[in-house]
Amino acid sequence: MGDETKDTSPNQGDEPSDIKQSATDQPDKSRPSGTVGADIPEKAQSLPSEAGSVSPAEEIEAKTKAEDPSGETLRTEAKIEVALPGVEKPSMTPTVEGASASGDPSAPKKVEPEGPSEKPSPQRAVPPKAAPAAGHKPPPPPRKGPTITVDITGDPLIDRIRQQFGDAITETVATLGQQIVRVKKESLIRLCNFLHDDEEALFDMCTDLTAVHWPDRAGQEFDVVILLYSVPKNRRLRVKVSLADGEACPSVTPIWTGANWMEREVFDMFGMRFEGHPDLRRILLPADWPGHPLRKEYPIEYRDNEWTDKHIEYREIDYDTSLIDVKYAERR
Amino acid sequence: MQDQQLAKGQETLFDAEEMVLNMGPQHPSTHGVLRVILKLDGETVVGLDCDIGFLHRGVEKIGEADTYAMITPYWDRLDYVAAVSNDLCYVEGVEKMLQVEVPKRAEYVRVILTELQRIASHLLWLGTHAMDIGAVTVLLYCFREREEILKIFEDFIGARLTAHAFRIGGLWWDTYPEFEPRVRDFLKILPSRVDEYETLLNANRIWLQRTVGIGILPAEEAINLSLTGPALRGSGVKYDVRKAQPYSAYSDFNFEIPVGENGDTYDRYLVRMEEIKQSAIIIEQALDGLPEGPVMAKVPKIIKPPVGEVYHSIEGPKGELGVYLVSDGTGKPYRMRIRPPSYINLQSLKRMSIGHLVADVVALIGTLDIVLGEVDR
Repeated sequence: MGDETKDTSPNQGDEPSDIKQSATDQPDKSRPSGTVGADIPEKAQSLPSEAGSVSPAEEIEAKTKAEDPSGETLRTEAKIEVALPGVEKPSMTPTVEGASASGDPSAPKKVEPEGPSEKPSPQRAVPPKAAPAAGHKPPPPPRKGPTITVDITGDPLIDRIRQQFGDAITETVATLGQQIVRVKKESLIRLCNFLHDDEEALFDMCTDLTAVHWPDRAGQEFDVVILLYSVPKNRRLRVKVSLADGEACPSVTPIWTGANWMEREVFDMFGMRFEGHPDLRRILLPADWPGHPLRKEYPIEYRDNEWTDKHIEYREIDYDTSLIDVKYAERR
Repeated sequence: MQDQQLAKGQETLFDAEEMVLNMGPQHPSTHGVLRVILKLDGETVVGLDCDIGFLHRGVEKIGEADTYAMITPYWDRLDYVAAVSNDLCYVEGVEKMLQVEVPKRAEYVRVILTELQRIASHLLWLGTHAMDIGAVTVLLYCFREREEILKIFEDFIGARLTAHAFRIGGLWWDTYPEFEPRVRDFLKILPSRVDEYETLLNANRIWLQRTVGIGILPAEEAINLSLTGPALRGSGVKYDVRKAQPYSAYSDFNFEIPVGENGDTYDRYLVRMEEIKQSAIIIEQALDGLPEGPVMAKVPKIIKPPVGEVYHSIEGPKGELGVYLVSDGTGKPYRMRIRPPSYINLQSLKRMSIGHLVADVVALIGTLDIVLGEVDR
């Protein structure tokens, strides 16, 4: 436990090697995150000015976008963009429970996503170029932004759906030619049944089912996205449902059996329940894992020491340090 | 006692209690760390549950923290026996979002590499699948040809397994001078080698007994289970993303989509063998028509796709491999969802296994062609 607390402390100036050593003592699960965690603070410290110079530019970009009167979607996206950097910083909302409380205050500090990602871009592109490029960017996005999303009310199938469901369909758009239908939660199952059985639609395969977290959208924090494919008609359609945090989504597993594991994964990663799912359990993470990793408030670099302690037995091995490294032995 | 009747599939009245058997996570035939919990009545499977996630490393979450260019190498490590195919999916997804047009030459080279990767992946599948069932020799033959492909990759890309072949916008390097003759040499020997495997297996009595009639999936059920790739085509559904919604340069080439009739393990084997031959045909056409020109499109150094979202899918060796990207206009994806064919195909294992023997579960895991790096992500 002693060296693990050392790992989570954000300001270890001179002892990264020590930490790596301690990480190797531990068995499997904790090892990769331990070594990664040890690397990050160095990177973040080495480039404070870099990170500072980029984020204002992004803010400006977001502001110009927000001021730009064109396109509703654009405006909402811009808001989210402003909110994004802030999302990691405030300590977890109550949804990430228990175990995070201990490691939490220190974890988000070292974990800011800007740190690790800003670092390698200078390696590829030249650093002085990177900052001005971000500064010059603001004009292009508003120009590009609205062009990829268009309204598709004229499409025969979309019109058919609108006729059947009327107000339940809140949005019909296409991005890059890919059709999206947004439906109210209450009508989801009715719509899915219609899409599965209707002669014009015949969406017999649920290609994928996933979710997106928009913490900034009050009352509609989650989008459940169902990607459908019709083998006989060879066309795709994306159905979206907005949900509030904690709200359950109706399960489409009775319609498409293949959605079973996809819904389990969404439950695992976002913590959203699916009403009517035959077997809603966690699938990729252990059953008693705290928190749901793909929510935006869940930090990228996050070690759950409590869980690891509980489940993975590990002992301090008394190394014959003389065999490894003399300096290390001395320091000890 | 005399009222008792034999239940379906039951042979004697000696009713032992149902037994729960753990297969894996360290079982050689599970092809990685897959734990299958079997509920058995004698030797017959009556219930099955898959325990996965041992290799989970949160690639989708990592994607939200990295720039678009940085994410590509993570894709190599999803389905680590088909790294090139994985790259193609992600790279084309981002290109679609940026609306970048990739030079023709790059697209052709991409097709050649991807099809070589498909052959390599199918060869590995064939070798391990046959070994699980008991034909150990096939593995050695398959690895002999797979080695040739890996050597071509090594000389072109620099890596054998996690070959980071493509960049957003095209290729990092043009082909090396001996590339074309070497691929052609390989294509020359391939048909005779495929014949060798087929001689070993097609009429092999043990092979037939272990595969024919095992894990039959009717077409409708296979579609409903979201099965894709050779596993779906074995059931007779002619769905291949290369034909249905052509990407890259696939619309330029003529090839057949093999489909099975019965939807059993043997048909899925035949489909994959035919796919190897079809891939060779595609590569030959691509080499013949390989245009000259640049291999990299003009892509900004800092990639910032416009606000929006995109779904792009390719026909990977395992099935439909897809990426769903949501961009908020910044340099990192707001959300990156991987549609993993192995993961989604694996859930049909339960449906296929029940009623079969324990030994058939081994054959069925093999026939689904899963890679746990992709299942767990």
